[in-house]
Amino acid sequence: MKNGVNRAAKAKTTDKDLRFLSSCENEDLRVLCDILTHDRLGNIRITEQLTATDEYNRNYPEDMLFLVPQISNELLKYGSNTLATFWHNEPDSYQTVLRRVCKQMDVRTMEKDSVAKMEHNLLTTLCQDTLDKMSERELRLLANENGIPDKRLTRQALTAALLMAVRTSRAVLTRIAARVIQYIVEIITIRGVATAGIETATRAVGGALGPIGWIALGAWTVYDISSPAYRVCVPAVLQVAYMRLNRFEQERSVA
Amino acid sequence: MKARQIMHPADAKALQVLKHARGFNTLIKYFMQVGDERIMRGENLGTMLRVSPDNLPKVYTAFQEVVHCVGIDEPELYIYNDPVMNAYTYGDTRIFVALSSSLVERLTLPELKSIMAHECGHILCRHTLYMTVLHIIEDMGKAAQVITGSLAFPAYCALQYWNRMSEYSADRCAAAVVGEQVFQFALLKLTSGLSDIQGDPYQLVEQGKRYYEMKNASFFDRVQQACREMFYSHPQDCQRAYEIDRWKSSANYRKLIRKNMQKGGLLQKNSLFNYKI
Repeated sequence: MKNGVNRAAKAKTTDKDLRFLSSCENEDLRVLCDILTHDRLGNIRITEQLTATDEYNRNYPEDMLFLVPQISNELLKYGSNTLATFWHNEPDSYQTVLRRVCKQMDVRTMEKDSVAKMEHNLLTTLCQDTLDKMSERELRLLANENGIPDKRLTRQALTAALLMAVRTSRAVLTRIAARVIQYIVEIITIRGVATAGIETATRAVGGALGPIGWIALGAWTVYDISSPAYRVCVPAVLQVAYMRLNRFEQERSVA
Repeated sequence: MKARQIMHPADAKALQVLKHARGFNTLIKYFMQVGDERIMRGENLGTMLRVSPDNLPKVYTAFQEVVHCVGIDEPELYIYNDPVMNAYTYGDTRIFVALSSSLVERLTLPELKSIMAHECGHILCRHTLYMTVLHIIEDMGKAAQVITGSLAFPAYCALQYWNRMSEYSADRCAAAVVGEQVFQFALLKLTSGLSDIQGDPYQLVEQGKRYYEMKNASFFDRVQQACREMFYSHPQDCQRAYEIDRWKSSANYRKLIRKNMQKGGLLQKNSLFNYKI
């Protein structure tokens, strides 16, 4: 019992890689919280557990700093397997969740990579993806905002110039990341839909295999339902990555 | 007032699930329009007293104030003869609110407004459509026990759960319109059935805390109490009081109350909540 209490208490403490959230701006935290609790259409997420808490009631949306432990815990729960979380009485670490998200988004990571490095790679890769999808007008606007002369550049040259800026300057990456986060969310949604289609088709085959197939199908469905919710944790991790980057930039500019 | 400002998260989640059954919802809506709504309007006109500025001016004015505050189209208001304090609303296109006579007799005007605001909260959140589904399943169960006992039982339990959650949203509407203290007093009277209660308005909140302590004492207690609660259409009164006490610290409640006070609305009048109708 004592062990159980300690484990429960441990589950409520903030992950070491998310402690920086306590020094972030209220508005950024509110956006992160909204990603966890509501979908893009503004509907409440059915599996979220944040809005029913006393802390949320008391502090949302004005005093988000008091909600940081709950937000962190919710993010980690979304990024972890529910059954494993139930068994261990705590979700996976942010580093594990981030690694999972990178894998899901086809971003290469090394075993020894730090959280900041993985987040940087994630944002850079996704910014590159997004720049490719932007119209010429949007690219010119972005280039102007970041001091890149665009008058004589073609679309390809503009993209290349912005990519170079993203890779070499953290400040530019921060600015561009802020602009492109909505495009990134769009990409995630399209991928999510495609995956769901494939799984549905495969399951239909499973259903036709008789009782053994049904048992396997049931187990698969339970596993699938309890597996990380990428539709939520990917945008949330991106927001965290952006917030960390932004914070680094602010600290650097103050120094 | 907007529905999302007062909606309890559990109610919003359950409503989202129910909204997915689109064809079924359209069908129920159609049956409501051509069937239940007309039948109930006939019953209301036939057996209840329609409140007007002439017969019960104070009650009618109070109702208009509440409707204005909640921001919905004015439904028809009826009073029916019943010693049990109760109220209900029904309809999707032609909506009405019915109050029992004992409510009007035993509650002060601000407390009565809290009951009216509760019903208007149901209308604002459009709960009536899904309540109809619940009643249909209940009626099916009465007609043929086998349906409630087997196939429709999980759906019935799920709808009953949502019904309980929807009451929390309606309670929030009441608290936002008249202030949470008035609502707590009204709840005390509804629980006890008495017309006069002395002392702390948060007696039920304290009872709610004790109840949750008891319920969460062990896994067995949780299961036992959950099994008892699962057939209830409404949350228990101490739970309702406790939920509103939690919600009163939220930004949404503060915002709504501030707006209400700026309008010079019901809250200022309700500070004198000892006058009778």
